Formats: sequence, structure tokens, C-alpha cells
Amino acid sequence: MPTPVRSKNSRVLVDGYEVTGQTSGIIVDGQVGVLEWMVLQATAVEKEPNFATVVMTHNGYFFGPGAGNLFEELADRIDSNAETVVSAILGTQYPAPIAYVIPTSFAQQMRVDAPLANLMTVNGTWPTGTERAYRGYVAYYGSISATGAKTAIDLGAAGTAGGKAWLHLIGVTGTLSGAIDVDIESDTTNSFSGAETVEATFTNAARGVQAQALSGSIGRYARIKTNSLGGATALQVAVIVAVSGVHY
Amino acid sequence: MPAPIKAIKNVTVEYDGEDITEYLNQQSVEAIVNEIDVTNLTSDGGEKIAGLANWTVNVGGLWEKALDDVIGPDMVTPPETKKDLTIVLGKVGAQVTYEWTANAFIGNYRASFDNPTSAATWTGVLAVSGAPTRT
Repeated sequence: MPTPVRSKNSRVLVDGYEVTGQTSGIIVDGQVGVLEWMVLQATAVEKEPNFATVVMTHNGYFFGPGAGNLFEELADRIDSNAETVVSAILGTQYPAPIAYVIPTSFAQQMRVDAPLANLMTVNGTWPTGTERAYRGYVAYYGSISATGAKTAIDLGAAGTAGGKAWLHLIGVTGTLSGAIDVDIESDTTNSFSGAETVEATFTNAARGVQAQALSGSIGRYARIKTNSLGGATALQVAVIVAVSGVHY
Repeated sequence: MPAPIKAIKNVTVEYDGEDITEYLNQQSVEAIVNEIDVTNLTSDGGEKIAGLANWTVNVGGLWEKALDDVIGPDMVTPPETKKDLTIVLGKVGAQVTYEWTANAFIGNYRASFDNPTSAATWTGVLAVSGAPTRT
């Protein structure tokens, strides 16, 4: 029996900021090119898939300028054409929600609407940039206030062809005096009793997002393990793991 | 005279061996045959003959993680080998099955989390290659 998911059970991250609280909706739209071909004696049009592109349509409210505001994050990138990592987290009620990540996106469009009898809104789109879009699972979202491991997630299956991971550092309590040190570990079982493997280490030194490549075999279960908070009292993070051949 | 068959409980859709029916609230199978104009100077009116059929399957419904696990990977990474698609329409005694074997892939997939007061929804276009087997 299916359990419907509420639209509100989603999040949007733009580099080092979470703009969920100013977002009214996110649409992840994937298009695969369809190459049609026809031959003599055919009974119907034949088709082959071409490459994929993903665009996120982002709708929200206008809270004015200021770092971390949806308007500011769109407007800055309209001005600068800066490459941006945009992640849409879908189904936040699951232990391991789905995440779609566009790693080299840019603000392709922005519109601020000011209707006479309603709230001002901001709309934008985040297209695929020079790097492909990914799909993965959220390994951890929340606060880290001490070293040590967090609860592992089930990636669904083990991988053999590497993958990619991102750590959005979206909040810092206290002051970062150096780089953080956060590992992604995987294990073939959910025991993590010494046979786990460190797949990647994040070393963000400021609010922002860092990507790490994963290589080779990846166990079915993954978790994050914090070795250093970089001098901060607490970190607010979202860590996404995408395993090739499993999630994308 | 028997009544027309309603959709609910009378449609199943399997993509890549996974039954995705419970994530659907809409589904259509469509074939469009292009028209070849053969009108000539002796014609009494416009004349056409049938060309080639182009099949499309449209789907959509309520989004869930399990659905995304089936559709999402093929959307971001189109498969080298196309997938199976089986659609069963109707009820026992009045049923038709359309099957594309290793001839289906995701052409479009949209996950919409666009209204905080509503359920998350999805729509998709299953691109299908060639003519189906109809039984």
C-alpha cells in the first residue's frame, strides 16, 4: 500500500545555504533526448535514448536581499554567472531521502513578481551545467556538535564503479579556525565493526559545498564520521552520497 | 450490453520488471500514425494513406521513494540496453496486453514538490521503440 509523500517534505540547498524556509516549491525535471529512426519495412518508429539533462524550477517568497535569502542567491548568480551546486532533497521523512544534485548549475532565470494584492514571490531555474546531474541518497542531514559517527543508511545496493559525494556546510555555530574533517564510510553490512572503508574525506574550511569522488567498490551501508569540527562548536550539514550503477 | 471498463483496478504497468501501478493515477498508451498525402491531379478530394506508427506511453501519479528508485536512475543515466515495458488494460475476460521487450526507456520524468499543502506528484513519458506485441 503506497504512502503518499507531502510536497513539504523536501529541501533545497544552494551551495552553502539552505533556502528551504523561503521556498514554496521545487520541481525536478529530467529530459532524455529521444532519437527516432525509421527503416524500410518497419512497423513503427524506432527510438534510442540520447543524453539526459535536468532542470530544477524553484519557486519561493521574496524576503529581500541578504546572504542566504532565495532572492540574493539567485540574483548574485544572475550577476556573476557563478557555478553553483544545487541539491533538491525529496522525501525527507525517509531515513535516506532522495537527492538530485546539479553540480555546475547556474541561475538561468529569475523573476520577482509583485502582485498588488498578494505577497512578492521569487522564481528561478537551475539547469544542468558543464557536469552531469546526479541522483543519490542523503547520508546525513542535521547538526554535528561532537566527533564520532552518525547512524548509517542503506544505500539500497553495493556499488562497484565508484560515485560522488557532496557536503553542504550550511551553518556554523562558533568559529571555524581550520578545516573540518568528516569521513564517509561504507560497510558491506550495517555493523561498522572495524571492516568499514573510508570512501572520502570532506575538509570544508568555510560555509559552502565540497564534492568528493568515490572510487571502486562501495559497501551497501554508509555513514558519516566526524573527526574534527574545525574549531567550531557545531556544524549544520547535508551529506549526499551517489553511487554509480545504483543511484545514477 | 456490458458497461465500459473503468480504469481503477483494471490497469497494470510494469517497467523493467517492477510493477509501478500503485504509483500511478494516470496512464495512457498512444499511437499516432503519420499521414502520407497522396492527393493527385485526378483526385476527387484529398487522399491519404497511413504511414508509420509512433507509440508513446504517458504516466503519472503520487511520488514515492520506491518509484524514484525505479525511474530516477534511468532518467539521469539513460541505459545502454533498453528496458521491458508491459501494460495490461481491462479486466479478466476483456483484457489486452501491450509489451515492449527491451524497447522502452524514460523520455521525461518530473518530480513535483511544488505545493506545501499537497502531495508530491510525478509525471513521466515512457519512450517506446517499435511496435508492441499485443495479446
